[in-house]
Amino acid sequence: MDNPVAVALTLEDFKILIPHAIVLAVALLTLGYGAIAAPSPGRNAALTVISVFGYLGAIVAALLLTGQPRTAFSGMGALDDMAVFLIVVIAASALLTVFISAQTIPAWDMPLGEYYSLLAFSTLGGMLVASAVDLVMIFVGIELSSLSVFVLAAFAKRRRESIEGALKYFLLSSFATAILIYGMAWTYGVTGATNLNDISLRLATYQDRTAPTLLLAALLLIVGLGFKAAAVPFHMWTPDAYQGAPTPVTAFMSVAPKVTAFAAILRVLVQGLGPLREQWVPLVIVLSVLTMALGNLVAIAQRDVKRMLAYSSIAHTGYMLVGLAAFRQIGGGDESIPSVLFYNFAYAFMNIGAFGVLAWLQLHGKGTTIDDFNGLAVTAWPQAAAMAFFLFSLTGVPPLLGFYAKYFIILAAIEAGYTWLAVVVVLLSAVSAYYYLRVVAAMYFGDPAGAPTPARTRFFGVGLGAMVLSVALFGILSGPVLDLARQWYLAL
Amino acid sequence: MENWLFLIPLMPLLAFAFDLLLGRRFPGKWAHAPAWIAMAVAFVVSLLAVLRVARTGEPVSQTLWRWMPGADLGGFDIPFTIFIDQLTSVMILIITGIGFLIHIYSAGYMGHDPGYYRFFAYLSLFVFAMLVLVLGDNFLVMFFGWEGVGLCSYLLIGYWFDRRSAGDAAKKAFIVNRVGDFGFLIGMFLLFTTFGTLSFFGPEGIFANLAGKGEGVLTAIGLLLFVGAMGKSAQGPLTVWLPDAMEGPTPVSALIHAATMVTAGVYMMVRAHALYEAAPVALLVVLIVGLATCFIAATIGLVQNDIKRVMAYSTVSQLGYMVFAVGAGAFIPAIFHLMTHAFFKALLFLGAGSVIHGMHEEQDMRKMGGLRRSMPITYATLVAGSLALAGFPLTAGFFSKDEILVGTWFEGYPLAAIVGWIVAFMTAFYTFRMIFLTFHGQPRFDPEHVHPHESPPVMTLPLIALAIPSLLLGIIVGLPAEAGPIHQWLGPVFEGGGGHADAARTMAVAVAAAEEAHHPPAWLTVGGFAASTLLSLAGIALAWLMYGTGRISAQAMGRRFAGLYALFYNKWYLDDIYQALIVAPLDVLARILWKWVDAGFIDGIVNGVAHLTGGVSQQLRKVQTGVVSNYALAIALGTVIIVGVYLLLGPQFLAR
Repeated sequence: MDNPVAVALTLEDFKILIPHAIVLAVALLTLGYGAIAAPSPGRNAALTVISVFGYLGAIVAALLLTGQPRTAFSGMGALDDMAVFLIVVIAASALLTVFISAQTIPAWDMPLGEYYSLLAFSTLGGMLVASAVDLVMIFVGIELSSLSVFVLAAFAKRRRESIEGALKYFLLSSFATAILIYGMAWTYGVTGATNLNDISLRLATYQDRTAPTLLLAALLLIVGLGFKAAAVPFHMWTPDAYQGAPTPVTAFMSVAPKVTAFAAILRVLVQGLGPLREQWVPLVIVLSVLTMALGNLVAIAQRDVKRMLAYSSIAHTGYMLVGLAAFRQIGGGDESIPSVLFYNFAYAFMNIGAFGVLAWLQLHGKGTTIDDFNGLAVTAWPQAAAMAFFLFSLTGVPPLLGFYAKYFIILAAIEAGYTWLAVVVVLLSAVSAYYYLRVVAAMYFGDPAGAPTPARTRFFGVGLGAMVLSVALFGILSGPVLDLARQWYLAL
Repeated sequence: MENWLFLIPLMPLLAFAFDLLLGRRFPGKWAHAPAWIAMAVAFVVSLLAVLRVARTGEPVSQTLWRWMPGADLGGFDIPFTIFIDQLTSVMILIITGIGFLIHIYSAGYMGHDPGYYRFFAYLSLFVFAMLVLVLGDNFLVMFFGWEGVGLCSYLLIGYWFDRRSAGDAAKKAFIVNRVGDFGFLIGMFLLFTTFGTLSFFGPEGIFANLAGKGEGVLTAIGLLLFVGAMGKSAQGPLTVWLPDAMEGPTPVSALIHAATMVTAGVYMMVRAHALYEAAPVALLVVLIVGLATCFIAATIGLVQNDIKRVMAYSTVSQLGYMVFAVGAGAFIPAIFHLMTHAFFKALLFLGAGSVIHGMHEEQDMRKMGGLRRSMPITYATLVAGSLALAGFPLTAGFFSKDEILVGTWFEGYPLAAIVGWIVAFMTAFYTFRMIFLTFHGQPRFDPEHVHPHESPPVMTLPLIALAIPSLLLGIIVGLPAEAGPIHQWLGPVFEGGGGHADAARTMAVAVAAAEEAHHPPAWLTVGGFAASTLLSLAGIALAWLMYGTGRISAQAMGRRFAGLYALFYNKWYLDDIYQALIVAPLDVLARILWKWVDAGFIDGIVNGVAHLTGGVSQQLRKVQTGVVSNYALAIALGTVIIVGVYLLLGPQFLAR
């Protein structure tokens, strides 16, 4: 471990890359096929089928590789069980995005092949982060994930807001990346290692863990990663980029890059900087409170549902940070990291679902303001019911998935002694009920303002149905999922 | 076997989902098919499970998943476990068996209804919730089912929601049940804080850890849970919703408001018998409330004219028997009566439904009469059910009621038993008053417009299937009295064999087992038989004299006891008392709260807070300028501040 100079590659090493390889194949196939074949409904269907089966294959492959933590490539990567959990969440969010994109993207005259390809590259980046045990790998993964998303955000290239949001995202992200890599450099400078396990071992031997150099390294890392996760005050790109991007892209970028960021945060802060816990936890607490408060409060003022969901996604970052703040130690008896993992899992289904209904509305000739939801329960009851499901889940109403996600976060916070933080979570969840339920009220009590124009939405039905089912079913079955998260964490 | 138990609740749930989502699209009227299949499968699986319990004498259980994981925080760890012991066996066979027959019947009864699929969807959902209620092995799962049946009851009472009275009755049922559920909920909170768990069994469970807990807290728990039971089983002050619930379709009345849901309170208390035995004061309250309900409901039943309302009050009264049996500690007779009552009361309701069906939705008995010629099967089966309800010798109801009365006497409450016998007399009277008014005498309807006809076989076959056990079940499981097969079957639940071994080690159960061991003396058994027989026959005879032959004028009786008649007819003024004591003051209070406290004070605060948050929100929104360099500045400033605070003040500064 100390001296991995003799690079020995075996075939075994590549085993951990099977899920990644499948997604890479999806990226290349969709890109190539999309470029070669002439645009037609048949081609689009084929592209969608390739993507769907690719992500399903990646999920299955990852699940089959559980239970045998494997380190490979001289310690650069590992397919431990936490990696599998995160890979499943990221691939699942890509899969769900495919369902809500399959008809919207061609309908809006965007090239589906390139779209799916970029989606797959971004997913691949996230999966690399999930299975990285080295700062350099994490960096590469994050950048792959982000760069693809920049392009996706600008995908509606005829719309000014799309270009503007993407450019802002790109510029600010470059800025944050600089900070992140600066932090990585400091970390390497202090510890002399880029491998997270090595960093952790060396940090554990230090007497003085409040040395300015160490602190600086940790803080810069948190700032850089906090930007990617959209934590306040590094969140400002989020509303503009989310609103500008085509809605299916927004759905994806509100989930996958966030999960990727949390994968990196868990790897870096927990696995690498775990010994510095006492130093970074206070900052995480402050960031979590700021993030929850700002996300929820500003969401209230939004009339545009898309922008409201953008702010609410900031608030959800805050809840996840609460779980991280409850971190005590790697090992048994700590519910913090499982609760964060579970929250990411839950968040993927309900958030993509909510954006999915929004995309469905847009596809049917409606806008994204709250008035466009008026009377939806009359004009399109299945979509209205699905939206109500997702919004109730986002609010945290039992017995839906979102309730359990918050419940576990709150449990972890109380267990760690931060009862006041749990109270903040509950209070701000109550605030969130206001803006989420306003949409539900509009759908069920508002007067219908014209029926949605009809459109072909076969894949939508499947995707939304799957997400509704997941939100309900995994809520009831939260115990087993949490057990997986817990066990997978312990195998770290 | 254990691995298949999940099918019992799952099948009705699937039928519900299927009917709700696809029922509307079914070609023709086939919405009953999934419900029928689900009930049949659930019944067969239940039967197999019960046979297994019978063979081994051990409970069977299947843990499906951990429902509320949180073991690390005070043991709030709720598994979703299906648990079947001898007591549950009785319940699931009633629910799936009688439920199956009622499902068949419903296809005929609801055949002309446009909401056919909706009806079967709700009915299946109800069966699911009811099964969860009895199958759970902890209070939270039970409560889940408890709330579920309440919801379905609401949906089904208000099934014909375009009728205002149905909507009102549904709301009444729901609100009254909320009062009870609130008590149940507080009881659960108290249970959890006292025991640190909500599980029934196991070494950590509630029933194994009763010793050493204060009698005060156990009494409080027992009373709070009983408040829940009062709501569900329509006892005491919470009885008012059940008669109104007859606004629902008749099969609903049979399944929910006679055979299954309303017995949930009795089931719950018998399930928690160890707890109640450790809280004698709570048991005494149960006894008094049950007895009072039993008596009052019977008196009201004497003077009702609506055929379904007679049944409704008789149900309340019969539930009163079960509840006071529980209160007296006669648990096995309570469950025995629950079982026989489920058969004969379901039969009576379905029979009444058949009459209503044949009379073109007429429910007033004063406008019937002489129907026995046009509806022979309905007549015969309804008489069978009435004999059982009236406690006619050797019918099912005779044995179970007699056991309750003898058991109550034997447990030390002879006065309660005597009141019970008086009620038995009244029961026989009003039951046969109904029979004579409906089926005998001259027709009092307009034969020009009403053509009473026998119902189709899909409705009469379930009647016949229910009539047989109503007549014979008592002989089969009730003999010899106080020691029949039903006692041998349920004995382990209370004596603590098999899976209850741990529970049995508690003091209370040991005492109960000792009590079960010796039987009532022979003179009491024989005397009870004699009293029950005589009073039943006397009640039937009086009904014959008054309504069969008219030798005694009912009008004259009514005039002679005008005061009592008015009291009974107006339901002891319960609804009026509530109107005066609860609704009217609440109305005034609500107005005061609304005008002054809410509009002035609370709204002020809420609007203030909303205004404040809105204002803050608007201000914060302005930070989002859209100018990218401002955003970059925020990141840079944030970084500088964070690093500055850390390096100058140290990380512990933030932790404060």
